Amino acid sequence: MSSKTSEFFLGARAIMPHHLGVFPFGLVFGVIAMTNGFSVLEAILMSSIIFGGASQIVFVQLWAAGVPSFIVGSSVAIVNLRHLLYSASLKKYVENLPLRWRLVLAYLLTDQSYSVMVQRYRAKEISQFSHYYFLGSGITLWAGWQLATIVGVLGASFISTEWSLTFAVSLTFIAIVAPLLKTRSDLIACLVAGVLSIALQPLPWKLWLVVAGLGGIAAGWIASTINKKNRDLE
Amino acid sequence: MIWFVMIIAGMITFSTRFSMFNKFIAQKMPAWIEAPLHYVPIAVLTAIIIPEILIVDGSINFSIVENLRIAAAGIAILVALVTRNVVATIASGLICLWVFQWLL
Repeated sequence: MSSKTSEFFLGARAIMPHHLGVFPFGLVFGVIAMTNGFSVLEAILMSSIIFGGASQIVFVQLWAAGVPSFIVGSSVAIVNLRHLLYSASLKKYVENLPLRWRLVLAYLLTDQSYSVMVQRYRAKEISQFSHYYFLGSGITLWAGWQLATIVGVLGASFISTEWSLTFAVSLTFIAIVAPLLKTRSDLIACLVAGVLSIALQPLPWKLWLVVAGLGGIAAGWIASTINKKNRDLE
Repeated sequence: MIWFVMIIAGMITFSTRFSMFNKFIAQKMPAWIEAPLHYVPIAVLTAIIIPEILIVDGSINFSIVENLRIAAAGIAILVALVTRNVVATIASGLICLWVFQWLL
């Protein structure tokens, strides 16, 4: 097997565990889209056009609640901010690839493929074909997401809320966030965002999401700045 | 209208992903953006997770006895911190929730 194909399949295999969270997530998205009055075509194509679980759920909920379009757009943008970080972090591995590769890999960049790629690049041997690993993991996740969306959309009336599938969505995010909590300022960012997300629930247009996100980022950053100053003084 | 907003949202999503992969602008991210950016996944994902766990049928429920998700999520968080394993985290959370629902 050439190392292009083997990298591709290793990537596909590495991302498999994430389907345990992604599949229920896609189902939930399909069901939520249908119960909020989206058409079959709108719901299914959204998974290709946006291809981001959290963004799609936020989009559907805000749109159905009659929130103004620019607030829908800003909320999706805030939810997406983390991709900027992923993009910056993987930049050095992809910057010498041809444009078509960079376009495709950017489209396939998700929380899951990022976490798989970071581990791949940390490995001792970096193959010159490791972008095939990225492609393999990305396409596999994409296919799983599309399949889950279709099953969710078509099976919306059969899928019971008693199965607690929305909880699987929270669990996928817990699996991503918990390993990121390493320093005191990480913990502060997490706590502030969590408290604000509950305290600000009365805000209109579900703005609590945007404000709690930005508040958590600011808190973590301020805490790290203060911490650094204290260390400099010692 | 829905298609227009959906395509805009898709473009926003794609442009954040492609942001640092392009060669036209931003060769290097300024430090004042990079430092706060570190907290983005933690803050944004936590802001999505917490209401999802604590809000039941539209109202906040802090009761560990009534809202079984709290205990199940607590266990999943511990499993995530200890094992750092995706499957173990999701499976432990779901199994705990189902067991609690069955018991109570």
